[in-house]
Amino acid sequence: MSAPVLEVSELAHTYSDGTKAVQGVSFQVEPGEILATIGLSGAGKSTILRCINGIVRPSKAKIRFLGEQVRWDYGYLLRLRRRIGFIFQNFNILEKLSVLTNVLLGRLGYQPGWAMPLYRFSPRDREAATAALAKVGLLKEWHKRSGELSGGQQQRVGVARALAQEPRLLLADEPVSSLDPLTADQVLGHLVRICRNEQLATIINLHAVPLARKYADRILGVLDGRIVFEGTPAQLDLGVLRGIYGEEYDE
Amino acid sequence: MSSLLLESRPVLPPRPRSPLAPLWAGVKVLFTALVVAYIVLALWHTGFNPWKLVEGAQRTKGLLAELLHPEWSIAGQLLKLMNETVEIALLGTLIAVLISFPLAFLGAKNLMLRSGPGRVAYFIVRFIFIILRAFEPVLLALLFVIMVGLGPFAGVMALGIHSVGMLGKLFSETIEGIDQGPVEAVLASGGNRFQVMWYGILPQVAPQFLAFSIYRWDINIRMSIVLGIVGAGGIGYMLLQYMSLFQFGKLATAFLIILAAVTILDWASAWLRTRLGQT
Repeated sequence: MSAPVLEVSELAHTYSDGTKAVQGVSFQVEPGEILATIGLSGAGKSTILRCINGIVRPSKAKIRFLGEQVRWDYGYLLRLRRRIGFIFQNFNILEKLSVLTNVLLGRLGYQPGWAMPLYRFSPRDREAATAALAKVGLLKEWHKRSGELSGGQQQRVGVARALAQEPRLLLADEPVSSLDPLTADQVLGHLVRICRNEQLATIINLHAVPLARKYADRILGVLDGRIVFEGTPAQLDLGVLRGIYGEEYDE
Repeated sequence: MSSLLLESRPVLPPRPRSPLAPLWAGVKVLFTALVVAYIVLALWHTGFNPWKLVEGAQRTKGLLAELLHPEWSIAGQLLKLMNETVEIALLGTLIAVLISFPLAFLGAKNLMLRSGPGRVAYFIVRFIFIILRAFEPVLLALLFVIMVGLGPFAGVMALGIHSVGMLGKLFSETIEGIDQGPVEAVLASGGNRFQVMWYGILPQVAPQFLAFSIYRWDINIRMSIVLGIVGAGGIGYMLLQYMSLFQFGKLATAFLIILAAVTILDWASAWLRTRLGQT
């Protein structure tokens, strides 16, 4: 058993309006492990992910990334984030920019200051972006305007952007819930294959229980900001699901 | 659950009425009456009288006829001045774009209202925009003519300063309307504050910024003609001169050149802006 990439203990976050989004969760992820979190909308799944990369500063937490204690100062966060890829529900790509430029945005953490104004990237950055495009199967589309692509392709641009970071940890927030079921399964399946292949630790928030069952190594059930279930897909029976989604849940 | 089968024809329930409704109705009537009264007052104060148009046209028939005979001999000189007018507008707009571009980020609510110093900067910048808009270009032109003397440079400065107020406001509001998603994406991949502006925001606003700038140039060309009348360069000054010397043939030439130039540039700017909208 290898050392965990991420160790989260006693993570809690209360938003400024008083919403207790996360109320003390602890878990860890190992290299190559696909961890899925399931639960109702508003259960706190997104907040957990955003606390890990410091987009949201948690009220209270002890997080270790690659064995190192995470701090919340500006400079440290920039260095932390460039090793953590993030995939968004709404893709969050710039539709007016080309596919390649969007993927290169994953290299911003490595871009020297003088190169910034002219959208310049080093050969090393272009190499990483090209490799990421190849992994998601969009090499031929590199010059197209991202807005011209289909939804599934746009999310693959989002995946490539995260992979271009050459991350040690991948966070995906409902990565396929704005895609149709067939495309969703394809995109997620492809993402999971890449992660396993590269021994990449991955946390995926998922809406669809069947997808979590199919692709996750381990599942966390989140309810009202707390982890109420932790186990393998096989352990996820109807009783557990009713505990997470309420008594009306039916398969 | 209500039944999906309608047993009778559905009727809209009555609109909820506030107890203050009769008061509001009274206020509406009063307000309408005030507006109508002010319009009547304005007609009286301005001596509005369409009959004067007919009468005046008959009295000055001879002079007006001269307008139909433009003197083409001075067309070359006037075209040069028209070009100067366009150049004044171009430089004025350019100065305004360069100043208002960085300020616009400081004047955008969504970027600035999160921190204490940000708030202060936001209010200062927005206040500057309001003040600059209040300085009408003609007022500014008079000021700059006093400062730097008669001529086109005063016009450039007047348009530049006034346009900062207009463009800054439009640019800031464009930034306020962006999609926050790509901003978060840039942050999440380790981008710093400047990279957020340059990669997360700029691509979203660039086409609109360009369209606003071209439109502003278009407006500034018209304004620059008026500024000429107060001595701030370009073709405008000649209008005043020909008028006061009753040289209506030359005035006619100037009119036609202005009309043609403004029409062509108006059309060109609209064409450019629609092209920007499509990309």
